[in-house]
Amino acid sequence: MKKRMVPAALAIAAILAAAGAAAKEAPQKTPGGMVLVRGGVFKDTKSNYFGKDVTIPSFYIGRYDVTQKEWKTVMGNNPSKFAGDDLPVEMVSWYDSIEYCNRRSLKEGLKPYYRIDKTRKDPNNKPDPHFGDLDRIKWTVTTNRNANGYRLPTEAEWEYAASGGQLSRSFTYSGSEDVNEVAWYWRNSGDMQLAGFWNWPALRENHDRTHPVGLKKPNELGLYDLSGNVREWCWDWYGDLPDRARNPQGSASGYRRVWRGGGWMSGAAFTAVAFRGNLAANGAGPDQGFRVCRNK
Amino acid sequence: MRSIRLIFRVVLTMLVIAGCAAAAANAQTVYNNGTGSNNGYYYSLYSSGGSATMTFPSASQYHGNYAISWSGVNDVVGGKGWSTGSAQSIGYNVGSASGYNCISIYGWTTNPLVEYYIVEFGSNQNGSYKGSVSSDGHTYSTYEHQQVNQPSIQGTATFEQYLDNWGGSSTGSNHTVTTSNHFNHWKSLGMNMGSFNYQILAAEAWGGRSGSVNATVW
Repeated sequence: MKKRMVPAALAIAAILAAAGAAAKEAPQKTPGGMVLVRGGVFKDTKSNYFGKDVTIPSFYIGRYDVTQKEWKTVMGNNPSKFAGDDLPVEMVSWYDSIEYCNRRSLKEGLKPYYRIDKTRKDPNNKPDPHFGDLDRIKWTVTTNRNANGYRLPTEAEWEYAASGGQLSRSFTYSGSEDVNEVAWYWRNSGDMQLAGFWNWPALRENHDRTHPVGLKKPNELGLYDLSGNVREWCWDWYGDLPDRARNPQGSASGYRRVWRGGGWMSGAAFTAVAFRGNLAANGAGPDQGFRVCRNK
Repeated sequence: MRSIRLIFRVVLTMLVIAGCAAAAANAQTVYNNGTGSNNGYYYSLYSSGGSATMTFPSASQYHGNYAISWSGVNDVVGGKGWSTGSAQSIGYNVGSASGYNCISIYGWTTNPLVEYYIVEFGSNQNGSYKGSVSSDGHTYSTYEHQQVNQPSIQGTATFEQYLDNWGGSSTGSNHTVTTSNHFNHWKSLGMNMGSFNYQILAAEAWGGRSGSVNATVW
């Protein structure tokens, strides 16, 4: 009897061990609306980080910009100038974007990625050397690096994802050499195609505006609207770029936060993958939105 | 003999084609809104309300020539120049001009983002007075105007407008704008420039005015 039980126990143990191994090796399910960006060094030869020995760990990023529908579900309001559920949310400051991330995390039972202290002015938020204290909010925002909640991409993550990650074909714009194929920008985002010099009254009269997310061609990773439509906030202070770094988080202090990708109001050059834009953290405009990320 | 005749015909045909192309380029007419290139220069016309027309009457001889007429416009901005500017000496001759608010060397730089005007006719004064600069035989008043979260070539931005305002130019004669004098003056005031975007000799009018300009830039 005992002899017969030994093989049975071994078999059960083997099954349990196999199940455990399977549980460990089972791929983590990609969250809804997100794409897994497999990490590595930059393949995009036009990237600011190419050849700089900068490594990005794998992470998840939203397939689209955060839409107004998603924003309203979480925040209960809609700050956007151009209304429409499928349009990207805009008129959001960097602080608004950070708050959205945390509130959405809590709503979905995730651990918030950001610690937001609204009572203490951030000493790392410096006055603009030319314009003075543009940002009167200056919340102190720090991160829980291991939290599974929603967050903004770092500047390096944004550029890595926009360039197609390991699948990069080194396009100037995210997914193409032809800006019209992948981006809503000032020439093509209104009633008629505009040509020649950028001229704000011309854009205004042509009703240039945002467009529903996901209408243009995606990039190598299946991500939409990284170039154009709305500019996207990144976590980083605008500053010098690093060499030889893993998962860089940007400068320790600064006076403007980074945006990337350009928007419907931008000239084509500013929708390029490698272009680095910046705006005070409390700044907002009808072309300023964001997309969310999560740790893998 | 046949081959000489053939060569003559080919040359004649090429001359006719070239002539037609030149005539077509100069016969170009832009109504209200339009942009593109003409005889190697970029041009742009924007208007709202009323009507505006841009032509290139002498562009076959003077490649930077253009003419704009407008009537009852809320706003008109038009001109000719370069898609990428530089700290160059810009020559111009405004043959005739009426009903405008200002005629300026107008352009943008990026990193830092700057919109600039060097006002040759009329006036454009905004922001803080920063001093004066002499260039090309006359004195300009310098203004710095901060724009916070306003539309720009990069999108919503906080940026500077730099204005050197003179407005005393005259029609019918050649003038020079040594832009490096202006840019160096601005730099000495901490008003830095970035990488050049477009740079044009632009005429602007607003407030329901009617008028015209015929100008050449080089």
